[in-house]
Amino acid sequence: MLYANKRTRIEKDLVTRIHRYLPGDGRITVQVNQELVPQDIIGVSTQKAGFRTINLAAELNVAPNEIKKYLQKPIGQTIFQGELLALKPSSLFQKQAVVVAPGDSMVDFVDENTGNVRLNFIQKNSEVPSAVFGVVEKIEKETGRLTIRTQVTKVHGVLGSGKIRDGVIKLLGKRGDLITPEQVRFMHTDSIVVGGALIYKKAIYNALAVGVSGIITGGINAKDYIALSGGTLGVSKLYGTDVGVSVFVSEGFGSIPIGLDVYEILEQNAGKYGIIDGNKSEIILPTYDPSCMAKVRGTRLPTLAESDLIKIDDVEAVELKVGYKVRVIAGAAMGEQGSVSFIDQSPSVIASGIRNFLITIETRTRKIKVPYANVEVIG
Amino acid sequence: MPKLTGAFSLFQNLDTIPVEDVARWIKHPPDLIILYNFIANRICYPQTISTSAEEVEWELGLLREALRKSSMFLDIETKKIIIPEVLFERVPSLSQLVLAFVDAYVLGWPIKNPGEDVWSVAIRNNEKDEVIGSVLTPEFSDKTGNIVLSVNKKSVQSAKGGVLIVPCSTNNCVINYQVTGGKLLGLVQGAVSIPGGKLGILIDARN
Repeated sequence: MLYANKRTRIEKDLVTRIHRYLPGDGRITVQVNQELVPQDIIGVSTQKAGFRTINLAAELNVAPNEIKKYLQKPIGQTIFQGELLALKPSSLFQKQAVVVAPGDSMVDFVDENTGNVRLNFIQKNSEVPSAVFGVVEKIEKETGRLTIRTQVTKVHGVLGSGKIRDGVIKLLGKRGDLITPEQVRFMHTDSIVVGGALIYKKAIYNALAVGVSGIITGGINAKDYIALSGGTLGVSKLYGTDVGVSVFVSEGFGSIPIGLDVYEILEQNAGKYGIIDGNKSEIILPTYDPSCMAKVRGTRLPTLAESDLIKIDDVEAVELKVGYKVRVIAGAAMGEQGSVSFIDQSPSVIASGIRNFLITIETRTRKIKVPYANVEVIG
Repeated sequence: MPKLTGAFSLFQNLDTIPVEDVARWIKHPPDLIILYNFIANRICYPQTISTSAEEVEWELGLLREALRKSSMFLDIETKKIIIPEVLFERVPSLSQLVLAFVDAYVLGWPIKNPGEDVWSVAIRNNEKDEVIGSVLTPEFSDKTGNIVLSVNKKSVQSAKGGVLIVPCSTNNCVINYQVTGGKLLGLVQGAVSIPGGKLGILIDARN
């Protein structure tokens, strides 16, 4: 009998608890045991005024001393969220470039040496929507935190870093792309961006600078991961680390496309609200089907204190069988997924000189043979 | 069933090994980013095996450095090198594997007293040791030195700087030796009975 590790990658229709927070100072407007739909307002918060610096030269692809030419609002003028801040018309060699205001603000300062423009945000009250179907279980007024029981799809990765954050899921490219710093822009502020096979270190730094909530990637260079995870590859799941952005890695180290199983779920949820827990390497995607409320109402979860216990390991060994869905975790085919169609009855000597039983995997596009030691069962 | 682990689960803190230290054991090392990713994936997926000769070499480099950080496979009192059986699944050749242990533990070992230049090699499975051979490390004072051995009526020679394996499958192998420009067991020539087995006698003349 041949054994392989089985890793749970996706849990669908799972009833669990999530937390929603009021940003800034605020007032919670719901009650315990209240049922919620995504459009319900759970609180009103007053966000402290702050500022944002946008590098217009980079956004418009012009020299720093040219940015005033394209600015649509003079210094001192108020601009509202979504309003046009800068516009560079298209030319023979370049597409039109547009920059809109990220929030209600005032144009405060333009620096023609660096190409930066500073916007001072206007203090305002904002209503915070529930964003999920669910039932309020607990309210913590001191911290502005609500615990909501809801139905989700949970995606498990291999490693990650960063605390729990939320945002709108935004796809930067295809699942096999290499994500460069230029692709992470200020329009991704507070979003969870979905990269591709690899995200470069500078793109991570850019994500930090523009205030991205989370990054989802198939692979990451070990050196870059160590910089995020406090200096080691084995991140303690009890304590975790956080450098200001949460990172979820679905496959492993190096350039590895996001697995088909995970990418399809993310594509389906593009533009929707999601939660990323980097330290647990989890993505939580609420269900937007109203019929889920029947299950949410009828499900009783363990008490809050018990459920705080962290499940350390979700991998176990199973006997490998024909028909199982697997992913390749080493070698040239690392990251590929498919079904086991045949298991050799006797071992073969592979190119490394090692003897191992080979299995045949049918992917969407081809058949491959890999050593059984180099696969994980995912379904 | 508990999850599968692999040979590298025997070692702690593999991620603290500098990748440059692993690279120095590799004849044509890859870009260090690629090597670092390879090592990291081995830590993440310790049950996986190498799929090319190149990867075997990288893995043996990692093994050497992991062994250097851990003395649990070297019994200094009985002069025994202990190889966990689980490592045999990952390396195609016994001699490659033994040489990794020799490089990690014995290469450069200061020989202060006669007898410190002979080590037995054993495979450990479930706390039981099966002796598979011996390692001889003559010490040379002359860079043109060499050692001539006779084992089972077969004569072999190794110049300083070389590594040689002589088959001897019996439990006890009687060897006659003569060293030019150096010593073995404190003598320039002599005879000794040492353990043999599926490895035989490995002569490491690099000291």
